[in-house]
Amino acid sequence: MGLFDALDISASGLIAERTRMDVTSHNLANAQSSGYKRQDVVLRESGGGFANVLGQAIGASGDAGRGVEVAAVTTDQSEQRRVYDPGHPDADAQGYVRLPNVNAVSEMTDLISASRAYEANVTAMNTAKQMFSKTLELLK
Amino acid sequence: MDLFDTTQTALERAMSGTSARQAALAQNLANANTPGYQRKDVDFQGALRSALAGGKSAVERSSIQTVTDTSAALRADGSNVDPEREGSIIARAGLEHDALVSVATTRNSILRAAMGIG
Amino acid sequence: MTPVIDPSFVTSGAEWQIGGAGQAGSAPASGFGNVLSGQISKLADLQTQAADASQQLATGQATDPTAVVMAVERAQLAMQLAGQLRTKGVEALNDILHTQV
Repeated sequence: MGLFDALDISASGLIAERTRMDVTSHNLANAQSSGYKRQDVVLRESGGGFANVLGQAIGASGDAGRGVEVAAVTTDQSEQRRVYDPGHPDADAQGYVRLPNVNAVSEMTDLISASRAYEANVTAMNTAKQMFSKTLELLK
Repeated sequence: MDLFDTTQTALERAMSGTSARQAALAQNLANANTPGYQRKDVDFQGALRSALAGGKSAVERSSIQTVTDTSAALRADGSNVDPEREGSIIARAGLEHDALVSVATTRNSILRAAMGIG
Repeated sequence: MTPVIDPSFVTSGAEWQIGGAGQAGSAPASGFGNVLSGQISKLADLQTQAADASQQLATGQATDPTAVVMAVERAQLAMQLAGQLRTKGVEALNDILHTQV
């Protein structure tokens, strides 16, 4: 554990938040694509797999952790919106089209949250770099 | 009369390695949008570790090698450069270089203090 | 007329004897020679520790760079202390040798 690890941990945060942003943008871009099911990103603490949890229960390691990782990009299985539009090329026999259940407001909220978290991780990384530079000043 | 011990030589060799690494990582970042580009890195630490067992002359000649990294995840356009990951690697390599420079400079000043200068 | 100098400031004769300084304070009765040799052996250890930490930093095995910086800093301070002890010791010796009897 040390300052170098702090950089790696912040980097994992940057990658995770960027993935969240990508998926949210993808949802927003496909908000009107018939048949599209919106996606979600599941994040989890890095090193949270079964083997690591077992190891920690035994008392093997005492580390603070390795950051965050994207556990899965899941597809939202909830019911899609049925809109009556007989003229649509993808309309079924009754004239209904299945449109994605993408709520623009909640997607925008996710986008803002991912952006803020990204900036926070950048700040954490810069702080780690500054702390290390200050440590090196001891040697001047 | 030998003024510099094996550790000082190892520090200088490591500084050459981190400098070469900075160049390779900058190249990676410049090619962040190039399709099919495979990221490069410089491998010198393993060679330095084994050379330390062989004494000062082995350390002076330990290898600094530019390698192509094929283990990173591929993007859709065939490039395996992740800009966030690359940025954090560059930050870490820069700090390692700074640390080596500071430690080597301080050891030289220890030498001066031992000689009675400054 | 009260005396200008407070008589309670006059110390007893025991503290002015050579070697009495060790008895007056809490420090053990170790002379300058012991202090110097203790510092020199610690100095060599600190230099070795700093060299090991520096090698670990060079080979990328240093998990905590802060610890490396502190080890080298301790070695530098110890060397500077040893230098000062040597300089002051030599100066004191010269003063003694050149004292007019």
